[in-house]
Amino acid sequence: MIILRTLLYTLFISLFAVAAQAQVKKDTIPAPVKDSTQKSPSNAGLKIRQATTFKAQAAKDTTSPKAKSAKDSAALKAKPAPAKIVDSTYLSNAGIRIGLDISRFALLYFQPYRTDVTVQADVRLGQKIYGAIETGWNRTSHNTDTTYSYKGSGIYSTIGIDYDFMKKKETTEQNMLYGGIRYGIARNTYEIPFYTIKNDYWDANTKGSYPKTTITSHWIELVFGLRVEAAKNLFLGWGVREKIMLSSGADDSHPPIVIPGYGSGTKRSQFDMTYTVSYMIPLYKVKVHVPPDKKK
Amino acid sequence: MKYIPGIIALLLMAVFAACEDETKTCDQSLLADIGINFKKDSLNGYIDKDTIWPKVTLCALDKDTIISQQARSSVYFALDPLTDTCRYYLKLDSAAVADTLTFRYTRKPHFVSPGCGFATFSTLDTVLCTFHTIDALKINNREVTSDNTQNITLYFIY
Repeated sequence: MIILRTLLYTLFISLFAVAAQAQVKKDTIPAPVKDSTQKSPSNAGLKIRQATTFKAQAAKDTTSPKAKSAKDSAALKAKPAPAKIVDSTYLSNAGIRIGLDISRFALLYFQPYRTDVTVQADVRLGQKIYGAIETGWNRTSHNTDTTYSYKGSGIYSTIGIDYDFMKKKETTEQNMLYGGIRYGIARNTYEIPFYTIKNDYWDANTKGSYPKTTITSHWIELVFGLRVEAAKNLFLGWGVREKIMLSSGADDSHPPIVIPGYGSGTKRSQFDMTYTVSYMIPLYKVKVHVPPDKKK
Repeated sequence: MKYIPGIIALLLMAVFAACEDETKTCDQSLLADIGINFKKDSLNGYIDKDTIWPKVTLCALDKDTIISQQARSSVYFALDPLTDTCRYYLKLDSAAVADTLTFRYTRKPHFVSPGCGFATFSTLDTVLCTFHTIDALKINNREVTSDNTQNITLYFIY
């Protein structure tokens, strides 16, 4: 059983690793963007301050030693070149991005006693700042037949901000490598319909139950992740989180097995990971300023 | 690309931590035993040293023997989980006169972990003993849990 679980863990991790590699590889390849010098700034939704710099570069490119013949020069002109950013201010698409954390469904396989559904949303507040909100539901049911049974359910929400560390190579790029912080709150109800405590020396079998209890928990999350635009406005992203409990509200002698959104009710801090599929509804544009490239 | 190994290591760590099924394994002790250690009292309490009694015998009254004539510097045993009082017989040496310890306590069920389930923890109220061999008794910690605490110290003069 342990070998099977280890194999499944390995397979799961390999899939994530391959996915992460594929995503990062995609990031490094600049997508073709129409030459900004051929379009008016208003049509492209792009305000290039140093249009003259772009024109000069384009002129330099066409007269490079590689482009010897007029045929080659024409071909180069026809090909859409990536719009590299030197020093500019442009408008970038922004809106509300709504997603579903699909790792919660995979978690059901590893932890069959819990069922979770998590919905995430974020909005771009500035050039690199995103406001993030997450809400979800959890149901936990565990029955050992011999020692105890457990039933619980609840809802949770987190709210916080993300900071995008990724330096954009193109004006249309929406990929992000982010870090952030969240505040989480959960309200859940749980009960222990029966438990048994055995003591061999005293030949005792103590039975009891714990009544339905409702608690409110508060925690802080530190988030780090990657989000990639796989198709237009469709994003795939994974993230890792360190969750630190501030107050669980539970009795120390009877903590819940799972606190919705947080995880194990018996731990003061813990790691978690997410894999999210999300869609951005473009609603407005955000002004993005790119400082001059120091190398040039 | 240079960050890939780091990202994978981070993912590995997170996956193992996040996917752990806590209900499968019991990684803590369910034995909530009371611990008693022995000290030799010299110079009216100015020098206390741990001491080993050569032939310790321990059992609850009218129950099976837990320790039979073994050399010990401390003993651990369970309080009765069905009542709020219990009595133990303690003989420290074959030549010594046996003592009786009486414990009065309150019991409470405690959820140890999802994999282990419940254990009975107790809070000591009163501990009484005869003073045939024992000189003095001190309660160090009233909470009897599964963390192997030495709740009581017995002092001897010899």
